[in-house]
Amino acid sequence: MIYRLVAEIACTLMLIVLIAAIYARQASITSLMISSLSVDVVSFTSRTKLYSSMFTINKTWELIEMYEDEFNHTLGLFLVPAFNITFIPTATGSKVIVRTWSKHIIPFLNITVLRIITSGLTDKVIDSTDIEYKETETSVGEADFSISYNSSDIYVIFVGLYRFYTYTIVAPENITRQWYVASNTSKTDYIEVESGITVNRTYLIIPHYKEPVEANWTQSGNRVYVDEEPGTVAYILTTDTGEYFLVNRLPIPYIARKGSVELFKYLICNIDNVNYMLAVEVRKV
Amino acid sequence: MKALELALIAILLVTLYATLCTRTLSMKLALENDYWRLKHEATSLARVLADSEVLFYLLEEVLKDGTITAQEREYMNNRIRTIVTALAPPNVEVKVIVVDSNYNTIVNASTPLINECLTAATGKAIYTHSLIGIFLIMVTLGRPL
Repeated sequence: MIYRLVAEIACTLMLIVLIAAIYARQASITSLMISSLSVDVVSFTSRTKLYSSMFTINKTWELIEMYEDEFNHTLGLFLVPAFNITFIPTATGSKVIVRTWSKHIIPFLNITVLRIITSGLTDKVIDSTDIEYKETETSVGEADFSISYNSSDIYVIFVGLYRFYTYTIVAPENITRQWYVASNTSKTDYIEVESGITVNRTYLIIPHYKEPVEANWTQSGNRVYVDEEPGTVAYILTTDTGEYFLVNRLPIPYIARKGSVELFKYLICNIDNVNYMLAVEVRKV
Repeated sequence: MKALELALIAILLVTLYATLCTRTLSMKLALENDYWRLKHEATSLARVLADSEVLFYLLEEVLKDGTITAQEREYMNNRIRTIVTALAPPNVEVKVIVVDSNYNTIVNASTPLINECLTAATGKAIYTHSLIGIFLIMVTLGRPL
């Protein structure tokens, strides 16, 4: 009887050792893998049709809405200009430094800086005295400009690598508003201003142009419908009370960082003809 | 009693088999996931190369006499390698091949560790220009070990 019990215990032990050995081997194979599984990234990408690189303004808004509604808790989203553009005031004017998001220097760049002096927005139409514009080519990823920096002015920095364009707008926070409302049909996009605001002029910021372009518009209640031109990335609205606001068409930069980058790709906006970089991140555990 | 023991052993073995299968499957999915991600990134980069018209500017520069010498090809490879490496995601190896409509390889540039990658994926884009022709741009991105 006792021999039988010992034999059963030995068999059980052998079985346990066998199972442990198989698990250990499997674990060692798994640890060799450098990849990880993230179902959320796959799901987000397929739901937002991120397999395409060409995006419209409306599709980009849909992507952001979907992220905020459904993936905000599990993923991070980083939607920024295609290059990392830094604008720095210097003793002699200003400097623009451009790097890629993987921190490399791009050797052939065309950089332009447009300064819109906001004191000219209050009581008259923008003219050449309210604008400074400089353009340069660089092979070291940075360039000095004689345009001086004033914290109340608006700066549009436009960068081109051959015909790969991107931009960033540097503007005071107190005049920047997220009032743009994108709808499914681009003809009915509008700007929803706060109640009591009456717009008296609208300007389009088009990075390819050397100055803001005055545009036709109609106001119906709080909604302002602007006749924009292709390439419009933002609007400047002036009001009858002398206030002025900068309204971006897209909430760029959109930074909701969560952890490690899982997907890193360029979006080409076919309305703006400018490029953005999109990174989807997975929360660190 | 013996039947119960046998049943227990059978359940244990089935569970073991099932868990091992799941682990193998998740490994395969993980590889697939990494590949899928690289494929997206590579396609986006190939699209950027086509849309930026880099090829037109470079080819226009070297095709002045109608042919490309070995020196000009090397110059073009270096320029494209520099641009693509700069634009690529961090920590990936890159290979770019550009083929014209006669299947001639115009550009073949890569970073040194591309052949040592565990997972790699290729994205493709077509570039057409009325002056210089039609090209297939293939960008391969690989995750090094």
